[in-house]
Amino acid sequence: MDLVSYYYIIENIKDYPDYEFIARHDCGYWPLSAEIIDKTKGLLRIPRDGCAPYFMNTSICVIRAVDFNKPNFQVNPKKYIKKNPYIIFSNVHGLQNGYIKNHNLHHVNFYLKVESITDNFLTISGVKVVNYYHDGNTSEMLSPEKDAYFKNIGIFAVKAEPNKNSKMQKVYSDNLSDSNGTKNNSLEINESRIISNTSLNTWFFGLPLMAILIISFILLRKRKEH
Amino acid sequence: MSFLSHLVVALAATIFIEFFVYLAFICKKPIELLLFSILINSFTNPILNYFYNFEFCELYSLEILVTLIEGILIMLLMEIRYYRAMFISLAANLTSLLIGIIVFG
Repeated sequence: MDLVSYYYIIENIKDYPDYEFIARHDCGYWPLSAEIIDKTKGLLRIPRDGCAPYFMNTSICVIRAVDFNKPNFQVNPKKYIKKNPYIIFSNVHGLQNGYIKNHNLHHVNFYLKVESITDNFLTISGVKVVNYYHDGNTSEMLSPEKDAYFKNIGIFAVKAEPNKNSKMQKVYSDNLSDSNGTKNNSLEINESRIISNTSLNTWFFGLPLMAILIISFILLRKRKEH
Repeated sequence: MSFLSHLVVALAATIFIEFFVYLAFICKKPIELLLFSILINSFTNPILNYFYNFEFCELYSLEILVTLIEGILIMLLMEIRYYRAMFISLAANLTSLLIGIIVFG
């Protein structure tokens, strides 16, 4: 199987000078490293070291520049991301290097766009996917193939990752309703993202619930038998 | 590979690793032990992953908690003594953790 490099380019990263964009690289669900995304190009490469390519996945998050302590980040990026209440997570999880059997393909560029950054959530959308071939030709991937690619790299509705201790979380809660009790539109979008994330909710809560019910049933039967 | 796929692979791997550890200690009724491994890990693994990935709890603290919970479930389901159940749970979770570290880095 040939590994073809995937490059991720955030097209409008320069429109957000007040934020630092950070890529967090995980191997499976083990955090590996984190890096600041270069704001001049908005280019993100997925590392190939330290993890089987199949398990490597990367997520994107941001932090306000004023809240960002670069020296601390550089000392221990993984810890800095994990423990920082100011980190704003995004819908993008699972950016990967590719596995494509097409030997003519040299690399693939995924063009992404920041849609919005709220106090609680960074929303990123997919713009286009361009294939670059060894012979110098390029081709743009069309829907639905393009949509499937974006879905594979995580650009679909997922739950935000609010930290309960986060100041952002408090702001989010405070702003859910305005003084008239009507919801802020941008936050309503985030709320719908959380609700629509049924598969993860089923996994994290439905499966354990089902398991403990069956365990309880078995234990009750054992007790009756005795 | 999506986030959910990673979770499924991690759970399947944990179920099989812990099943073989149960089998090594208990040496009888393998089908029943496999069922218990599926049930116990289907209960603890998603919860561990939720707290690890979304609440950013320390992995080792979570593993200790999971070991205690699994020890109690092993004691009740397999009808063995508390200390033996805890030992089996500790061995199973250490094995799956070590294999996880070796495989995932």
